[in-house]
Amino acid sequence: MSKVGIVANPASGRDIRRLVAQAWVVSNQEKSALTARLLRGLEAAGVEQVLYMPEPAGICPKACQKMGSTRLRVAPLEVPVSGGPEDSTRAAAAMVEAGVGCIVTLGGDGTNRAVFKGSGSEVPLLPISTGTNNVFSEFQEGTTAGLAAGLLATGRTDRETACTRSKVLWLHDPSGVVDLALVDLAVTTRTFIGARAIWEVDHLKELFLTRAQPWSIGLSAIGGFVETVTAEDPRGLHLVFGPDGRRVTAPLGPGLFREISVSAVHRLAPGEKKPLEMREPATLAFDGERDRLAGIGEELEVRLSSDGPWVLDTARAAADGLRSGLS
Amino acid sequence: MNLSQYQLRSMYRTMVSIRTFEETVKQAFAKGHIPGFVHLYVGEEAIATGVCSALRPSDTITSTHRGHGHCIAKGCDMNSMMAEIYGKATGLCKGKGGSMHIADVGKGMLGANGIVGGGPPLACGAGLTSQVTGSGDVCACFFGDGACEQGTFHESANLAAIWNLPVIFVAENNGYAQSTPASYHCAIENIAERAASYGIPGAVVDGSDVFAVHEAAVEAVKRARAGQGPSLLECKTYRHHGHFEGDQQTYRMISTRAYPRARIPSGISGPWSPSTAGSPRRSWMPSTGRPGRPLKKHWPTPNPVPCPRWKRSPATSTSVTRS
Repeated sequence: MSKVGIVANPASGRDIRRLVAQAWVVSNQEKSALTARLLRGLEAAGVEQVLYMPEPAGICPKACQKMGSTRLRVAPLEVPVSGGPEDSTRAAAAMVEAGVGCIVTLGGDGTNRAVFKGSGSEVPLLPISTGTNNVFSEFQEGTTAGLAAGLLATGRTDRETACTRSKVLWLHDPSGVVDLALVDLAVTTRTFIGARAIWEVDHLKELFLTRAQPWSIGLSAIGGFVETVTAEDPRGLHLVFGPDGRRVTAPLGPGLFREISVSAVHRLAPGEKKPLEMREPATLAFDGERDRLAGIGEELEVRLSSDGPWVLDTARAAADGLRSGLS
Repeated sequence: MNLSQYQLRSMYRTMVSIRTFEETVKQAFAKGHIPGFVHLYVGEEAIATGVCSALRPSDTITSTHRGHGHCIAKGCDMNSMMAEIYGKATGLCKGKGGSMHIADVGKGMLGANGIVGGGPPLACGAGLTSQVTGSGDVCACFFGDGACEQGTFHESANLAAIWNLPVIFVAENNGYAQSTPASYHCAIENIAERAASYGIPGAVVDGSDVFAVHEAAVEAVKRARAGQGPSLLECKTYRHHGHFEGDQQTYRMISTRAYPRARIPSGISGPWSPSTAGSPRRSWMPSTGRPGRPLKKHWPTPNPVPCPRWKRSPATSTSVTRS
């Protein structure tokens, strides 16, 4: 049976960047409408079952109401709901266990990070951006995204043809891997997590990037203004910030430009490890969100790896899977 | 923006003061020493503290029927507050207001309010005063998720937007409007989304994390003071106690009553440290008791039989409240 999973994050696109930048709002009503279009695409591609993450806003159930009749069997996963990112991780793990061929995510980079923690590397993701300034996930129309995910799940295209393997930054401590970032890992001198997002640069100390694109917004744009590293490029970038360095002005958020001094730039080769020198209390930010406190002397290392999630390319999936039409 | 040790201690002291004050009120009420009703702020300390620590003394706030925390965070004298709650002449309002009508204009506390949704129009007045006099002060308007369904909130948000008033609307979404879950009375998940209807920015923050609230409040205050107009902060939190003391909470399932007690706002549960105070969970929504099912599923369909709108005190008091 062909199955697809949907993780729609009701909390994406709500944070403080609506106050400090000109960030847009994607309402949960719009997420439901997008999901309805996504389901129609999946139905057209011949998918039989859709499993979705339950959440308080009821994005998928409302999408089903909008759709009316459908051949799809749409069902929630029987997983606990706590209202945090661990819901996405739990749901993704349950979807992989249920045998989905693709997981479609509606959220931001943080949502995909949480999903990857549960899904692992084998099941491809189709990340649709409903977050603030996303790099890993992109704006996509639900109809065609659903079609592409369906083509993959029904075997009309395959992972090697339609997907790209992403890079990932693993955070190690002496016990092993403790966390990960799909796009950027920043070391900040903030001593608390607070509102999570980063919109000021005065507290940035180091930045690790899997991709650095000047056409992006967010932390990865800083790297992009120094040296372009695309998603397909095997290497990464490591920036150190400090006085008397190269002055870079980059968009840190929607409509929000900040200047920062880059004192050192290192290219990261696949598999390369870089230790973090924790000489003062710090907060680590993963994919743009402060999420972990680090103490003085804590032994932490960052490793660039090419074993991140497979990401479905809608255009390539359609080009390969629709050569003989939809019937 | 890193906070100084003085600021951190001050915020911690405020949160602990609110918690201690409320627990004291609870005990006094249980002994029958307090007339009227009391609505406790336990569990929501981080919101009043995070917002008021972003204000200056001349800024103003408007409050709600659950206003003790707002008063303390804005600097009202706790002895005078307690005297007011006891109905004593030494109280902040000479004992004539009680718990739901504490005010101290000298401290910028424009008043608690027994009317749900009564604060936003007053906040617009305070904002207009500031605009006309050019004082540069702002007004923080606290209200609950129940007030978000009142016309006064919508009218005030619109008025503040068209007049570009320096008002910060702080929605304390504690999951319940008296006995009605937010999932039942509110058509959307996030109240902050309503800001877009009035052309003002709205953001959601974890209301149990004083740092998150403070950071958002600082930015909202900065905007308001710079003449960029109002904004809406939705602080997701949870009401640990009943709507009022003595509320049997029969509308809450046992699982939802037990769950949030384990979740103490940052800084309250023990000696403050960055490691304990900075890693909040976002799990403000109550567990439904059955995995994977939203709370709304457990709420009955609307009852067509008219229900009494006014609740009478179950004890000796004859006062009534509606909220």
